[in-house]
Amino acid sequence: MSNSDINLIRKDVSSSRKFSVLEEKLRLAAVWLLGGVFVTGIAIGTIYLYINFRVRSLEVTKANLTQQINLQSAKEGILLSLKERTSVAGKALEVAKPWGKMFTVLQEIAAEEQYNSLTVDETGKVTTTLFLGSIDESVAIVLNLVRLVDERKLRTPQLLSFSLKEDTTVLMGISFFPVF
Amino acid sequence: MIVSGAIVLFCVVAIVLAVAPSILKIQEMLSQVRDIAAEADGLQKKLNTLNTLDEQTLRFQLASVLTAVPGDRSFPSLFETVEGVAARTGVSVEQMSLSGGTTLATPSAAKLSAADRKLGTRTVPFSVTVNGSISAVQEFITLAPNVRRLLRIRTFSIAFPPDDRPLTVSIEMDAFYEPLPTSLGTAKTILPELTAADVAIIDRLGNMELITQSAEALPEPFIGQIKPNPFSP
Repeated sequence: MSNSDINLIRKDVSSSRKFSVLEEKLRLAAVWLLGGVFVTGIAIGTIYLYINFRVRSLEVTKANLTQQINLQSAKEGILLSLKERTSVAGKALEVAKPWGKMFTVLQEIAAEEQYNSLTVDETGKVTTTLFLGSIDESVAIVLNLVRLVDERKLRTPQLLSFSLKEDTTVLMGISFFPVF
Repeated sequence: MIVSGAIVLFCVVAIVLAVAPSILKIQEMLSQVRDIAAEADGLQKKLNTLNTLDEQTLRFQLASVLTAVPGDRSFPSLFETVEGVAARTGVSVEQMSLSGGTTLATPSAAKLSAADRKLGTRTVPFSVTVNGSISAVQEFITLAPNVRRLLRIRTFSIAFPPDDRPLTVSIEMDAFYEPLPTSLGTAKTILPELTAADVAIIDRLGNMELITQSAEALPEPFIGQIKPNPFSP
């Protein structure tokens, strides 16, 4: 009988042991997995309950706060109206130009009796015609305009018309933008 | 062996079908908690702000601002203001007329005109012709935009007579108004905050002279109220 016949028995023994080890490992894995799933399940359940409780608690808080806020809706409405109106008033005050100040500038350009007409358009341009007694007076007007530009009281003055009559009187049209 | 295998299989199935979805659900719920907590926090802050505000002070401030920017076109206060300014400055009102087409719709329903859209506010355009000395006219033009019924001088033209007759001034003006809000947002709508600039404007308006004697009373809050007769004005 050869040695190989004896080894056949040994081989069976080895296979059985391997199976046994595998079975043991599987059993161990099953225990661990089951334990893990159980612990995780407990943990998830606890967390779920806590979060659910927290959500409900927050919902109750929110409902209470909403109720308290709704009780003050009149105050909120007044505040809202006040805010909107203040915004409008701010814009209104911003676009309203202090045209009264322009009269001081007009007095520095010419005397009241020298003015014939004056117009202020939507762009803020002042256009005026002046009746002047002589060319010297018109030169004085131009010098006044130049001085006021230097003093930054007006900008972009323009001579729109200039007519000299037989009696040496002058009708002069000028325009400018007052600086406020 | 079979029992262990079944347990392992059961655990794998449990992980795939129960544990993993539960973890996702918890993540979703945590996100929900964060959102609700943020909302509750916002509501708490809003309530705290509302609690710090004094309703009487707000009412007084609104009443003051309403005389400057009324809730409707308020023609009586407009005419009264112009007449009052004229009387105060010594000019006489020769003519006063409303310019442009004035819609008869309620202020809130009326569409903004192109000029109003440009300004960002609602206005009543009108023109007034006044007579007076140059100093009186100067005072009128100075005072008109500085009274507590906000007016803006858009254009004006002055005719200087050759003799001692008073000057004639034609002025195109705008009066400002803003309809009252008819609805509030939900409770979680962020509360508008009165900034330092807003308070400065309120103070400035409060310091402006109120020319009209019949100052408008603060209207009753109609937000949330239902009219008994919807066809009544």
